[in-house]
Formats: sequence, structure tokens, C-alpha cells
Amino acid sequence: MTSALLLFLLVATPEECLVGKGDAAATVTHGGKTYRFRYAECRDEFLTDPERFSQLYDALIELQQSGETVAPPSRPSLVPS
Amino acid sequence: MATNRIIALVLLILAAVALLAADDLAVCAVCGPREGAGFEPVKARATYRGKEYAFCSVKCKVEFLKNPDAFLVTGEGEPAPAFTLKTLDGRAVSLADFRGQVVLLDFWGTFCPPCVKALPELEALHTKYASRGFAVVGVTVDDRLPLVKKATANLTYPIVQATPEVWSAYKVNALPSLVLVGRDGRIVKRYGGEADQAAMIAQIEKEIAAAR
Repeated sequence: MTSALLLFLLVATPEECLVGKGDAAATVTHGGKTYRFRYAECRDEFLTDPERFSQLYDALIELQQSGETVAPPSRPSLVPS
Repeated sequence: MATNRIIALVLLILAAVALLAADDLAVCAVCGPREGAGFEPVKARATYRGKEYAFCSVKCKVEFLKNPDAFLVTGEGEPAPAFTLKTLDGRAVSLADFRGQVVLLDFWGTFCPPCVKALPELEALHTKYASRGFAVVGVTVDDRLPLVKKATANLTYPIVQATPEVWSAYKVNALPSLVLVGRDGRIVKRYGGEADQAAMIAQIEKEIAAAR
């Protein structure tokens, strides 16, 4: 459980949470739309503020469909270079 | 002769297109507070805590929604940034002119329907409390003066024209934005949208009642 949470904190940005039909570990239906997530923690975060996160994921889907990508925020490297 | 008419027609169409496009300009809720960016074409909108925000790109919308509070600086308790701005007829108005009074700064534009709808309500507030040391100052972020003059023809409180420096100093990233300044010249509270109106009036009354 702790390692799963640590993995989520280290890895899961909204861009990484969003997945296609086959890869979803969790789903949420909000406003008549179904959002599919790579990790259950992504769904839990979504449920803390569905109005905000539905708009966020809708915007990410719009970017994906237009061929644009959003660079994930840079994270401090755990491996010294 | 015919060529001149065609050129005039093309110019007229271009002006009309520019005017229509200008209706959809706003300060990006991400680029405004971060870079002091001015008006940009609106490419996306989002609602957060009952207030609508405009963005210059879908990427900015994504960035905002990831952490909205990072872009919502209240400035409460801080000194209200000083300004001297010009009214629609060229008269200079400074925040310092209202020293010792409670001032409600209304950042607005004619392209913002809730802003225009609020003008008569702000006029009523100004009239009701003026004798008790309260003033409304309309700060228009709209440079289309004929439209601004028409919308404010019946108002008695001053309307001044904002500069990018002023809306950046007040961190205006959405319209309407109302900033309540106390008698001590510090920002008491910021408001936006109709949902805040009752709370705003209660706070105004509280500030007016505060000892001079």
C-alpha cells in the first residue's frame, strides 16, 4: 500500500493517469462521461473535486486529440547524474 | 474608383472582424499573474469555485486546473498598489485621492456581461454609502471608449482606464474582479461574480462601520 502510494506520488501526473479503454485500473463516470485511469489513486484524486478534474481531463483529451502534448512537470531526479 | 471602393470595403470588413474578435479577449488566468500579460484571444475557459476563468491556450487551462490556488493570489492584508489613472474625459484619479475612505475597485470591461450587469448595482452601493466614506471606482480594462462611455453614461462614480501595469499589480486574472480597500489603504478582500455579492456588501458595511 505504502509503495503504491509512493509510486503514485512519484509517477502519476494527470497526463499519466489518463489511459485508454484497455489499460484502466479504475473508472469514474461524471457528467455523463467516463474517465479511465491508470491507477486507483488517480480516481481517488478525481473524486476529491470532480468539477475541477473533469475539466482538467477534458482539456487533456482535447490536447491529445489535437496532437498536442503537455510536458509533465519536471521532477527532481532520484538518481545523481 | 472601383478599386478604391473595394479597398474601403475590405478595410471595413477587416475592422468588423477585429471588433468581433475583440469581444473574446481576456487576461489569461495563467499568463496574466505570472508574466503580467495583457489581453489575449480566449482559447479556453474553465470554472473554478463558481468563477469563470479565461485562458490563452488549452495548455494554460490544463496548467491552471492542476493547481488553481497557485494562480489565485488574494493580496489580502497587503497595501493596495498605488495608481494614478485617467478618467474617460482625461482627468487624473489616484487611489490616494480616497485616503481614509473605503474604496471598492471594480475591474471590468464591456465584453464581460456580468460586469455590465453589475454597474447599476455598484452605482446603488456608491450612492447609498457615499456619505459614510465609501466610494466605488470603476477600472475599465476595455479600450473601446465609445462602448465604455455608453455603458457608464448614467454612473456617478469615477471610471478610469486601466493600464497593464495596474491590472498586473492587482493581479487581475478574471472579470469581474472587485477589490475592497479599507480605510487604512490595505486590501481587505477580493470578489468576483454574483455569488460573492451578499458577502461583499456585508464586508463593505463592516469596513464603513470601522473607526476612522
